[in-house]
Amino acid sequence: MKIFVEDIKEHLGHYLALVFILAFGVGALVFFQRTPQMQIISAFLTACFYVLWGVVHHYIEKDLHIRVVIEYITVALLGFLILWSIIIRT
Amino acid sequence: MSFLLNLFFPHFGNNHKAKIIKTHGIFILTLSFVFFQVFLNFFALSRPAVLGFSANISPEKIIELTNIERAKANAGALRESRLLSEAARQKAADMFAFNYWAHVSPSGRSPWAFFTDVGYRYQYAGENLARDFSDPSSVVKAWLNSPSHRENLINGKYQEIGVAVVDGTLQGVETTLVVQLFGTPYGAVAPKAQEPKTAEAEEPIVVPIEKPAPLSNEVLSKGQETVPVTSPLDITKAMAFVILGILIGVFAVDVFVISPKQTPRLSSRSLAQMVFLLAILVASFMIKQGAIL
Repeated sequence: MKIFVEDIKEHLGHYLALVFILAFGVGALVFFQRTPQMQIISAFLTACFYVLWGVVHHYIEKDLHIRVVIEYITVALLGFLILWSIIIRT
Repeated sequence: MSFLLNLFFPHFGNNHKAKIIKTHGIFILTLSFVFFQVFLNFFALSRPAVLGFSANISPEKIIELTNIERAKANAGALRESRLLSEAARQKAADMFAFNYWAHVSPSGRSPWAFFTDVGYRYQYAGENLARDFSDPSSVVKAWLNSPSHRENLINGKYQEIGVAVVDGTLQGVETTLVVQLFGTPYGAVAPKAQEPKTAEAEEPIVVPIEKPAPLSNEVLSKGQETVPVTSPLDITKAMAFVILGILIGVFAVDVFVISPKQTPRLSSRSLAQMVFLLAILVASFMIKQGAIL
């Protein structure tokens, strides 16, 4: 637990940027509640910025590898598809 | 047992990362989700009675579901009135023409003006509005979840109903508007199903009027159509919550098991993945179908 907290402290700026990206994405989805096209664009951009965050974070940490990028892309794709499926059914 | 351990728990045997959160594990989950969505579309189209899939909400279905809810509340069944249906259609047309989403138009025209325009003289009247719903049961469910709309829906004072469902562009968005009007013709005796409550609710409103008038009615058909069991949206959300819940849980275990050990591995940050999926979960909760007024 101590190491976990220290990791967050060490990368506080990175995680704050991530929280900002995600909060902005969720806020946009709620703000565009009556505009599905804008919701889909918001979800897509949030997923893209998430992948970008991962790339930048690992680049700074000097452990960037294609395998890592693919992991972020896969999770971002799943998240986007879930939101897209829900949005088109509302 | 070892299969489950490999799937969900990081240990030596799975190279210190649960298989389900490895790239291929998440990819398989993603593909399963996509295939399930395709299946859901086909199933919903072939069995609309089960899933209630359709963007075309029929006024008859809204009336039928309203009467089902009224029966549960021991309120009398409503008769469909052609005059009220026409008034509802005119109200929807007015909302599209003057681009507003409100009970009262920007020019100050009240809902009751549409009743009198078609020659419906009412003793009691009420209005419920809904937009952007894809199935009738979701519309009625949303109204039932709102105390003031529920009050209108099961109010024993009403005897007649008219519903219009109109597609158009409202405030720049393609919309399906549902206008539900309730009325009791002037001079008619209201059934004694329940005590009327009109004071607290601001909108929708129950309004008395003094002057009597003749009325033309059409008796509602009482065909027993099947009420859809659930909607594709509910199923999609349920599946999304299950997938997200499992992944968030496994990523959380990964964070708390791997972090203390400081196991060196080439991998994405599990904490970041967990936070991202949590955001998706929150967003999924917050995306709601339609709006009522």
